[in-house]
Amino acid sequence: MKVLHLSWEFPPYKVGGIGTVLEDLTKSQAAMGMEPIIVTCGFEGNVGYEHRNGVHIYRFDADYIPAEDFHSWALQMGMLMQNKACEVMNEHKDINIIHAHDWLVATAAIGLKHIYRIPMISTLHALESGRYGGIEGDRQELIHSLEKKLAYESWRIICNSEFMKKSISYSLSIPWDKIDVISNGVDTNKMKIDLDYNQEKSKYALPHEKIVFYVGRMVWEKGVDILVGSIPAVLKQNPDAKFVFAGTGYMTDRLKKIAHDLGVSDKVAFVGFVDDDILKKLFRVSSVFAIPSRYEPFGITALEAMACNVPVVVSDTGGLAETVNHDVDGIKVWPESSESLAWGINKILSDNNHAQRLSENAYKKINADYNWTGISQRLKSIYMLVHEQYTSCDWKPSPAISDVGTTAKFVKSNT
Amino acid sequence: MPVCTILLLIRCVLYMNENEINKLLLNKILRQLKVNPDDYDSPNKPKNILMVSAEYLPKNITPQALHCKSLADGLVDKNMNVDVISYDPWKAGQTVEMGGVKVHYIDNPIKSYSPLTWALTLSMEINRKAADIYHKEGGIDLIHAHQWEMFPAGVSLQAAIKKPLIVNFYSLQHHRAPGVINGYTDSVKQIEWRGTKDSQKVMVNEDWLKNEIINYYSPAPQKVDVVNSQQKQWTQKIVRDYSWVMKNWNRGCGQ
Repeated sequence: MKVLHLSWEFPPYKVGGIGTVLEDLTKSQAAMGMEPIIVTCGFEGNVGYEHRNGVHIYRFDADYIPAEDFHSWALQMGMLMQNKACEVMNEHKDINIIHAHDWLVATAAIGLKHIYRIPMISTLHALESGRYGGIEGDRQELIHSLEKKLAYESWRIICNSEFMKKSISYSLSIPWDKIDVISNGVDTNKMKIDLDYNQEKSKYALPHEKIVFYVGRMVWEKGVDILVGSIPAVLKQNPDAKFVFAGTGYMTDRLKKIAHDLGVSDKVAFVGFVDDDILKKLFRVSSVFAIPSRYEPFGITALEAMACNVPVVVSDTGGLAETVNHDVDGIKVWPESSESLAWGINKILSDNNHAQRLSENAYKKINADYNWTGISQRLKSIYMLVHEQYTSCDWKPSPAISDVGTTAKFVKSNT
Repeated sequence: MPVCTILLLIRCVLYMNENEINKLLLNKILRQLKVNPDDYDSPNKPKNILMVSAEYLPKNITPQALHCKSLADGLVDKNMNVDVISYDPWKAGQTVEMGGVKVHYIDNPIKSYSPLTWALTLSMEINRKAADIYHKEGGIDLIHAHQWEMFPAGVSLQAAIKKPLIVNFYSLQHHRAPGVINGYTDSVKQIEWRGTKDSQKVMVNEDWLKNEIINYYSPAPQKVDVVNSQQKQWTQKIVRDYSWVMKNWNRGCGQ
């Protein structure tokens, strides 16, 4: 079975979690005998074709797209993506499903769906209404209406948590039974790394200090300001705590100022963007991983921390509320509350045995429930359902376009 | 020595423009056969034309709308099937037949905030309607996109269905916003440039606009044709252009 994934980010270029998720998903799909194809942006000259882990990756040049803002950049990127995808679809003449990831690829996915008359499904990894706590202004209206159109045009919609299912259904007015929940996963083997613990830790903290780690975008929805606000209360009970923040975003300078105003500058380190290897090492040397999000459709970093045996403290919101079982495999705290967050962090820092128990339970859980093989299998069953419905409906390409486009031959028995 | 042979020799020796030589040859042969060249139907003449224009009569009364309407009517007079996709939210979803021309109206469901974002999102709906025409109503032999707003859809359609694309300019961003350098104008210019690059023929209505396009976007000069609707037999000239484009396309040029 051939699936054409459309995503604006794919490793080595990562902005949010989509790239990481898609890399693991497609690798797993290839291992199952499927033939995943990705059309994605290429930057810094990294364009063209790559075949990696059984996945066909086609990158188009997205370096020189002039734009007045990110939104018009995204739409122009979509135009280039559609043109590249046409080349790919004309080359691979038996693509069965187009799988779109988020609003940035909506125009390309919808255009391709209609021209080639191939079923299109989408994964909505997040919603604009959640990112900023509502829809205000013309830029947000644009994204919101694109999300709505993408959801409307999709044969099925995939999301990664029950929380997202409710959000999509109510925010985009989509029928409940059109949406499937398939969680993200984590590859525990991929999270393993060799390191000199003391040497690595010494890059960020003194030997006696315990690292409280955060990684993610420095934006409002991630609630990093709540974590910074919790630092005095944590230090009061655990003066050896050291807070390390990885990631970039428009709030970085503001967060540094908050830390300065609170008088805790010496207890925080902003390390900026970190690559995969450094991230894994940071997880390994951390005592607590905190996710203070205001809005979190899933929270893939929670799984990554669990895969590295780091106990997690998460705000009881969105997908995180479903991923973490309170006081069994992590700690859940009240959203938007620095006091509650400080309580959760202190609970872990003050009780090593409890922290150990939480991380062990979390590791068992992700191996059982969040492995990519199971996730890919569930996704494949949706692909097959869509394909069965497609084969029995009248919506098909004319014979003429079959010569240049796809013929969507689907062999159920061996894929 | 026969005239045809002389012309062929000239073509070989002086590398004259292939289209012009072929036209001269064809006209000479037709005259010898006592056939008016203007009435001659090239075997390469496309049958099904898809025109995409945001402006079209009677909703818009602009030079572009008038040009598109006259062209569509003229093509129908020459026994060609013409489908026009145009923007009119009030008539979205309807197909109106006007003098043999089928005009399909679409809307843009996306809340855009600039002509650029409007054009780039409207592309989806053009693709959708064009796919209906392509799959249901007898196909498309040639795509004719009018003005930059329609170029993204034209380029993506061409890439998918592998049919020749003709782009029509009525003005340039360089003239609409002279001296302005920002992300918006650069984006529109990029789309205009892409239209000249990915199309098989560029049409304009005035010589000075042809020169400006060559100056700014550097297409091959013979790729740009001036067709003024005030001229006599102007639709015939466009049909000839279509035929030459189709002939070259069928020979594999531009694909």
